[in-house]
Amino acid sequence: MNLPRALVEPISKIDNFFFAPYSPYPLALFRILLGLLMLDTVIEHLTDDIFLYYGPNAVVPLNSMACRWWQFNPVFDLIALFPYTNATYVVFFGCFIFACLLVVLGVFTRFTVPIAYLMLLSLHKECPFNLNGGDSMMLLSMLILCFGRSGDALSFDSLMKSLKKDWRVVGFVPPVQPIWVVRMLQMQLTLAYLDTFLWKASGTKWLDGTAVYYATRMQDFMRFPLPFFMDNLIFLSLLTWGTLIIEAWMFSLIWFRKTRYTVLALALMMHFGIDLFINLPVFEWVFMSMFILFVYPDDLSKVASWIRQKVTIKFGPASVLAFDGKCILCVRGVGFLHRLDLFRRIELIDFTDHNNHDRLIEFDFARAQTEMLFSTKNGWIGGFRAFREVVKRLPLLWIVLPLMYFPGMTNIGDALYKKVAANRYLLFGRCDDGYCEIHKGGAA
Amino acid sequence: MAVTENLNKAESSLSELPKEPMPTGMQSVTSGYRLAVYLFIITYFSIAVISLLPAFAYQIRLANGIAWLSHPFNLVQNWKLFCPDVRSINFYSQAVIQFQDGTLKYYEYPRLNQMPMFESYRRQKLCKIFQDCMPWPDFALFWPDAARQIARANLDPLNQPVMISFSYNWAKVPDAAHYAKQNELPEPRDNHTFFVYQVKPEDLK
Repeated sequence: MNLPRALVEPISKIDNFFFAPYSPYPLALFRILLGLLMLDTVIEHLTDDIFLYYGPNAVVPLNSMACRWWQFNPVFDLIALFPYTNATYVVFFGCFIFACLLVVLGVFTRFTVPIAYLMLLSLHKECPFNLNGGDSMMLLSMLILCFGRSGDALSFDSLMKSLKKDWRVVGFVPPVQPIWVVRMLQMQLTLAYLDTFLWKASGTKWLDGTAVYYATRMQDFMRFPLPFFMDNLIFLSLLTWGTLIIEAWMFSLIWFRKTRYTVLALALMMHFGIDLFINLPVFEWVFMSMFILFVYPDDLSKVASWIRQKVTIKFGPASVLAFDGKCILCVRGVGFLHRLDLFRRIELIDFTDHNNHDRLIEFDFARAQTEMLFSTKNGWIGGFRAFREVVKRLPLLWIVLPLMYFPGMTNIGDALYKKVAANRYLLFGRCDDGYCEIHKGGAA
Repeated sequence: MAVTENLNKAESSLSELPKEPMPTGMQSVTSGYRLAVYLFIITYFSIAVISLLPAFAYQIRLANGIAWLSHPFNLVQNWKLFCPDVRSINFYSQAVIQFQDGTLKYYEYPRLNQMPMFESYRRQKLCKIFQDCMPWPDFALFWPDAARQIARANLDPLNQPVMISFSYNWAKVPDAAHYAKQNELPEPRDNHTFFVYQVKPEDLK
């Protein structure tokens, strides 16, 4: 009778380890970082010498790679489907850059992450001789990311999804997801540290404290010169042993909440240090980007709150955006803006709700029926001008701001706004005609 | 005054911060999904561990056994940067191109330490292929390709390249007991030729 109980508990712990509900934010942040690193790799480190690595004039052409390297093993290579010309590689690079951008922005993430992975894999297959450990970790992470819902937060996908739901019912917070993809990435990272630690511990230079001395003397890897106070054997020996200790902690103590942030902070310092003095582009950054997966979601939320609080202290309290809670277009529109409002600079108030009336000082209810109103230092402004003020407060939309100040844009914008606002019930329906209730029921 | 007080209050410790709402509402996970996930995790990490084990007869057999799965998706891992030991020599690769009329042209592959800092950062992958890979036996299969590539790059219809030889210049880093500062390292001068290739007419097409 004891045996099943003895088994049930560990099984349940393992199950909880992999399937506990978890916030989508760490994975979403990692998707953005990884996308940026892929963009950096392809734009900054590959395009200059693209035809040395890939194509008919490459150092190792494809037929030679296939005969001598791939041999009879199966290979996944998308580029091999197209004509073997330089133009193919130029187009492929263009498509890959576009795919990486979509990954960063979280556009159709379910498709773009696997596509970006397969494109990266194809590049790795065609030229494995220009890759370092950072590239390998990037590829493995992308493979694991293909199975996660990294587009559930901080993405174009989540914005689009939110437009289909009433935020007053479902709120602004994305649903949790099983943690297993985050766990796999965490395990992958710690496995890399375990392996490198074991190999280093089996060498002599790491144990006798001279490894960093030799590593900083490799002329082809030198970046910034060591400052005078570091350029001595005592300091370099301490760095050598320190590296070993931090790498040992990165697969052991990192799993415990009490020690996690100390270990992460030390590992960050180690990787920054290596990046400063040793020329290994992207390598250190891929590893450091994975640290975000070890940050607890409630701590991420504390950091977000802290940043928003600092912004509030610097720029004052949020401005009020009064909207018509009976208009579907208005409800969805302001919900969309709120999702883009990283620093919570806009407070949404439904002026049709009587409970909110005491918060709307000097408010013109008749005017609010014709246009959305936004509070500024100079009082309430409406229509296109209000929209422009809202955009000013949303850094993610700053890219369209210059357009809104084009000569004549105010008149065009006002006319367009009035046209849509006047017909909003006709075009999109009213909440009190039953549409919202049906929708709320569906969303709930 | 009230606003200032409020702002001062807001500048409180992290523990007093208003909590951001946390995500909720996970869809239920079916047992089939769980099983598939466990199978994926076990397969993935089994391949990883097999590829990370030190090479011995049984490991090689296992690695060959899973190659059908690990090879197409590059699942083989290797985290041996600077280990088990950091190398203790500096070197750079070069090629000598001999032309039909007997003239010799010396070509030095890009050396990062002679580039401006930002360029050496951007083009570090050149170092990976020409310094870390090319001179060493693992790349020997591709030495003829690299020779053909350099021959084509130096094509002169009136005076064709006829022979390519690859070599590297190297120097030992003074051992730690004879500590050398970064700017006191000896220039790599000892030469070792590792490959000579007779260029064929079809190589130049």
